[in-house]
Amino acid sequence: MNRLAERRGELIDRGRTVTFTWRGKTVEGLAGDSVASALYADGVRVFSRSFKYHRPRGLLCCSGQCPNCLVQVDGDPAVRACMTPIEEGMRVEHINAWPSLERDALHALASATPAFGMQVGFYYKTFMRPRWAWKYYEKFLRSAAGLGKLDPQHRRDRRYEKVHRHVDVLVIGGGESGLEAAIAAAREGRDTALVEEGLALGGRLAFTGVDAAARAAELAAAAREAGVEILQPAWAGGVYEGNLVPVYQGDTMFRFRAGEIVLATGLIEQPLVFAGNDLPGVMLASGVRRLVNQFRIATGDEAVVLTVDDLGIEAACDLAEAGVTVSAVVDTREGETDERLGVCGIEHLRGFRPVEARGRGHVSSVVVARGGERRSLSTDLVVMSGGTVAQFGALVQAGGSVHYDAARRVYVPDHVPAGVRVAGEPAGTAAEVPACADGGRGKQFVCYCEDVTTKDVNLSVKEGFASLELSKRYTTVTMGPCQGKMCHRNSGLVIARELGVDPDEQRVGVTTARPPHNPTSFSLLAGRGYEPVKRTSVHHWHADRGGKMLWAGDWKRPYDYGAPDDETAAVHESLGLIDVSTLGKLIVRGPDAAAFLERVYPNRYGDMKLARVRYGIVCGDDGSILDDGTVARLSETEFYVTTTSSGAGGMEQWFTWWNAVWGMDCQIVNVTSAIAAFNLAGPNARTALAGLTDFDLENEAFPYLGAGHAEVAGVPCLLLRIGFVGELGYEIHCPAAAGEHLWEALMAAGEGFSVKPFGLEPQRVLRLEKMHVIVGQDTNAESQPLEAGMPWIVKLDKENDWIGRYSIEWYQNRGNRTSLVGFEGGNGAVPKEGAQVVVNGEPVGRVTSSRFSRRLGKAIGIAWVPADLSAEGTPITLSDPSGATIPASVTLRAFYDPDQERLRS
Amino acid sequence: MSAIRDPYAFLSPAAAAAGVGLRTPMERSHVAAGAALEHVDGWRVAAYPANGEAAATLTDLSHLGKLDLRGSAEELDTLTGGLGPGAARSDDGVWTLRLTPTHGYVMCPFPRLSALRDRIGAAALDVTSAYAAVALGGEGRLAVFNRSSGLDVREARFGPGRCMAGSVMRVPTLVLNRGDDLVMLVAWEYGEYFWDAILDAGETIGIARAGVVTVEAPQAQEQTA
Amino acid sequence: MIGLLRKHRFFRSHPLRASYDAVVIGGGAHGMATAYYLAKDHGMKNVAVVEQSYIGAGASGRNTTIIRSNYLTPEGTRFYEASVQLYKTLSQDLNFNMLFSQHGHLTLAHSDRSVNTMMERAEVNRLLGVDSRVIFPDEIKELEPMLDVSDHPTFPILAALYHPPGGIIRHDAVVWGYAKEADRLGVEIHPYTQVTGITRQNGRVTGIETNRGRISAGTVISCTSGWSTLVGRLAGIEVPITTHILQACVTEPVKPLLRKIIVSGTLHIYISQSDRGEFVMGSEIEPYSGYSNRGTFRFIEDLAMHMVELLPMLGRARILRQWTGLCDVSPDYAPIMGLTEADGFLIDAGWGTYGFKASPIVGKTMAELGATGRTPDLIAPFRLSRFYENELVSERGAAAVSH
Repeated sequence: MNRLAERRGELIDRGRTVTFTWRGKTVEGLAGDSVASALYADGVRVFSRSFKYHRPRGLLCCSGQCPNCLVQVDGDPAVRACMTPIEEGMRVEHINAWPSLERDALHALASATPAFGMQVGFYYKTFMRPRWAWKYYEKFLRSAAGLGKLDPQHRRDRRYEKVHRHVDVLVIGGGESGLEAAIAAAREGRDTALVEEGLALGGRLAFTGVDAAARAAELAAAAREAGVEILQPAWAGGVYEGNLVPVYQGDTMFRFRAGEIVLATGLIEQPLVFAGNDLPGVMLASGVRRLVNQFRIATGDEAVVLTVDDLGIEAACDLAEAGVTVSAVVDTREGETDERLGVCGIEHLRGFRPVEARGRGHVSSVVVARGGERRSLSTDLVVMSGGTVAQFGALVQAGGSVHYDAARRVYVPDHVPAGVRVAGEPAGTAAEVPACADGGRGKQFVCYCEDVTTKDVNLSVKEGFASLELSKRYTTVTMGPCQGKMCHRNSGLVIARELGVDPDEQRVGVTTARPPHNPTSFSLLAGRGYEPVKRTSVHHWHADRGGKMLWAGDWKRPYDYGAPDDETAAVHESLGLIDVSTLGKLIVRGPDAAAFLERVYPNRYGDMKLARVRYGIVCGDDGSILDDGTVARLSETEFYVTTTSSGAGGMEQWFTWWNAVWGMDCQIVNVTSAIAAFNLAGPNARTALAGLTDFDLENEAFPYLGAGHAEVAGVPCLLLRIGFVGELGYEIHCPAAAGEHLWEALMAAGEGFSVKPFGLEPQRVLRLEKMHVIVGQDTNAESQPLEAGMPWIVKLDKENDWIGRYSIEWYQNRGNRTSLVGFEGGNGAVPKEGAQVVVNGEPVGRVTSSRFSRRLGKAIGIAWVPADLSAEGTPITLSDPSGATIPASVTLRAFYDPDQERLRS
Repeated sequence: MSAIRDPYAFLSPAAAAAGVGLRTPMERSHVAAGAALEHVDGWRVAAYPANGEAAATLTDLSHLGKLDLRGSAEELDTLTGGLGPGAARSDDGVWTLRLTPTHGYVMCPFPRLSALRDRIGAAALDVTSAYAAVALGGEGRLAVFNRSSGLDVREARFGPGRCMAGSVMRVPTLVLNRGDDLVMLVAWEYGEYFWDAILDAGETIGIARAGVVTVEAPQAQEQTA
Repeated sequence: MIGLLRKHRFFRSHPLRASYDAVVIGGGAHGMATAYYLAKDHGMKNVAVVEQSYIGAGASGRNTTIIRSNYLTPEGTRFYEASVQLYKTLSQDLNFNMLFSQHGHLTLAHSDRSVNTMMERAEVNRLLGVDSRVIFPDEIKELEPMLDVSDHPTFPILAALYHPPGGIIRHDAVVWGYAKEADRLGVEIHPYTQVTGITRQNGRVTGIETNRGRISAGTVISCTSGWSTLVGRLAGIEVPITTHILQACVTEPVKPLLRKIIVSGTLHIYISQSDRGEFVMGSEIEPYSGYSNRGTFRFIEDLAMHMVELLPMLGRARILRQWTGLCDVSPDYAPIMGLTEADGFLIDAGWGTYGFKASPIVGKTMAELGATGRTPDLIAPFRLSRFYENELVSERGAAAVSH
């Protein structure tokens, strides 16, 4: 076993091995290992290839902040190896290198390309000519782009749960500050939860030595004892309005709402910028310490620490104590040798700056300089301690802000909103750029995700992208998977230096920290996913009898039952039954109910007699048609209003709102759900219905447009004699709970008349034969009743004001510009709905409804035409999407039974 | 003209004749799950075997009588006996809910509905068939609820005798805490969807379908060799 | 390749002068294009663009980069088609690669009402010479293999409006391209310059006041999208728009998977894959109005839910970043362009969710109006006075889901 001696704070279970594969080869790790640590222990040093230059990359941060260890695990294309515990049988593959990690064709290409070839923004400056060639250049650019590969065959293969949680306190960050804050809150009796991203609780305590590990364990135990709910490893996706924080653990999202959020998100260590700083073997100090302390791996034979502050010295001592040979600490600060290093026997090179890391595929030496003096240090592990940056993303997302402390040269919290608290005093440590000395050959990486170098950033500023925001968009620095965690500070410092300004100047400053905190998969965000569906009380009967159940708004309705032509014919010839339960239904009642309706509708309702029903439309303030339906008078003060299926909710809101504005003594109750409704239509409708009820259905007793209460098949009903489908018919409304029973009874009563259930498609044909308008299909948001062929509905002589009156009077004075008319297709060809009315090839109107009527033997439809073409018999030309030109002629009267004889029989 | 004097009889399943078997929106789901249908108070209700082991149970209560109460704040004060908004009370099997100052509900056993309505008068509208209802019970009910809705049902915020309206499984829902269970009312047309959705939410917790009528569990299968 | 060898300085900085012939307020794609065409087409050199932040900081840098012309009305279609034609050669004209990829655009129909709307758009487009037609599941599957065209999905695909010239572009490059050429032609670009007032005399605009000083100018053109009402008020003009937030997001880059731009109104989502490999996605405007730049969690949750419904292989794609932009929505979902009641003050606003794709034609027509005083025919239907004349342009059907 090639691990260092057992020690407190380690995460590995030395007694349990776990086997997985890396690029097809079997690897043995220990339970508790991450994919990264197991591979590193097995000798892997190159984990990926970089985005643009395809340079070999090794572990850098070991904490999920950088892109270097992104691998594919069991088909998942972008997994951070350092944050993923190994599992038995896992299949791990590399990404973004072909044909192999060792030999990547695109690296060869990038290396062979002259330096200017891949300069920043190269694709903006070239590939433009010849114009036809761009297609091919682009294909190549696209195929080279991207990191991982999504499997096109992937389908949801497991359950993604979403759990809502409400707590008094949510602590984000399980380091020392976070644990202390959680313990305090829990001890006050507050319902407290804590979220920690890392593979162990404790934050820095978890990997900075034995004493620190002990402290971490102590705090963890105290937290559990105090009753803190600990989610670890789990991460917070961001802070949203109302203290909403999604927390992710495995395949579950915990959707937290917190009374108070405590931010203990800690610090992120930053890389140093110098030539060759992306070589495998160049790592962050915290990354090395994680490998050494948590996974007990001997990292390197001869380490050199590069540092800008005391944290690097601590790291050096920690590593030395753990058994890693540290040959020198290169410290950019001038001064005396630090005692602690003296004790460990580590050379302290003060005032030296890194110049260049050298090596082929892995670091083998690092060159440092102090003034004119240069030294080359042999090393296989360069440990960077480049200062730290506080994570303020969550604070800013929560509505807070940060400002630049010029004295300390770091950003600190400024405004902290109510409901949020910042634990500890996160500020990070200042750093300068260049921390490196000049003279290094090779790229100095500012951004590992996007392969952006200091040369790129400087060039962007020289080219005029002279601000952090512009440079960011031009160079793409901070826009990769790490979203600035590793590079925001350094890129800001480079730009500030190039511009010659302070880092907090307007043109530099900080960019907006946006959620999510880590890249979040769609599956996790989607959760179980479910789409509400509305079903009528007869839904399953329709489906069982072959009804094609399709979406109609939020409802499922039968489009037809397999033979729409037969269904249509049945209504004309004998008997049909359609489920119209989806109609909106409102009860409007009270002393002011009639007056209310008079104000809402352009037509008259106040004078309606009891037990009558009338068709009407509802207009908006601008005179446009919002909805249509019927109103039945049930008593002096009670009205029953129907609306279109999709308009029910909107009309309830409209009515309720106006009622509140006018303060009338009137109630509006939405009973859409409570009532099932069916339309029994056809010449035999009366006879069939008579068999189920004692209600007098004779024409004199119950004429067209009558309304009445009847018990049908034992069910209490409201009968409305109205006709959308043009034949003798009854719209029967009953309680939804009795709906299926009534439907079955009607079908049984109709058996002797060969009754057919009919669906939406036959209904459309039937209503079209009667030239009935469908609001929302034949009309749109700007159609008004005068142009839509319903001037008779608008009662401009009503004494009271009504909604839309002013606009419609205006329209009447202006005259119609366009007209909704019927038409008959000249040669029997049916234009598609959406075909255009053309004059000299120019679109001047459109076909909104069209069908072939078998009953009438011709193509019929409804269209908007210019007003000067709207006279009866006018020839018009229709241009169909198929390319055909169809002649037609305008018809103003209903195609079928224009005198309503059948309807009123 | 008509034999029925009540203008709203066509809303009310209570006015249906004896032979009409009233059905809830979840009936097909019950049948598909193997439940038997029994006739109770004019309704076809599901009969499921008792399941004492599941962490949560779901019962179809759509057959309960429901009244919609509207009026001025003073009228509602009188009708609800001074309940505050968001409060509910049970009297001898009849639940009265005050949702807002001017809007409330009554939930009762179906046979008592007509008498209650007559007693309350014009302020009450029979909405029995407007709302499907389920009862989510068992120790695991909050765990199931938290997988269905972001409403805060912590004990301190929503104890027994509280009601509120909000979104559950993406549809508008009225929630009532009866102490041992949560009753949820959704629009009748969402009944089947809602039933299936809550059962799915409870899958990892363990949820059993339950009926107002309980039957013996089927005989244990004979051991196969 | 020569472009790579040359040294470039794309934008220069200048002190603010006391007077210019024309001032454009707003340094996004519309403002920069307007300034460019003022200089290029009309020889006006004495032009300044003032921008409150860095150039392209507003909607130009936040949109989801879709270019198309398959609109619903003849007025809209003509207008956007003119824009697409300009985009085709823009990279060469401005000598800056916009990375314009015309891979094709699919608007899915999941209901027959939707199919009718597609038919209507197809026919209007066809009559006006725009390449656009309705296609059905078999052909949809051939063009975009990633789509599930069976009847298994919750909302099966019935048809699609296919627009082959539809494409995506590098949105910042449009701002930068126009800016650098305008700069080269002598236009002065002034970022970090906020307009605090618009001066008038005898009903005529005489200039603007800024945080860096006062400028006199005879012509002031506002291209400020979500801020149009605020800028309009400085000139004493009421602009009938409401500002709504629109959200968008992007995923980690992956190898190429999606060929076309896909829009689904029913699912309230649209998606494309950029040349960098990222999926760029969006939904609809928030129904309430506001100026917040805080995104919502619901946006990415609902988007994800519908996205995996439509394209299940995206289950493992990871959202990297979400952001917001402001949409200025007009009553008829069509823009507001041209003269206002204040002489000398021209407006370009009401761009809702469809402003970016119109940038070149906006620039050309607004420049023509600014330089000559004559309103070009192409934009006459979009005049501000149409709301008083009740001559609305009914684009709701094609503009409803943002792209």
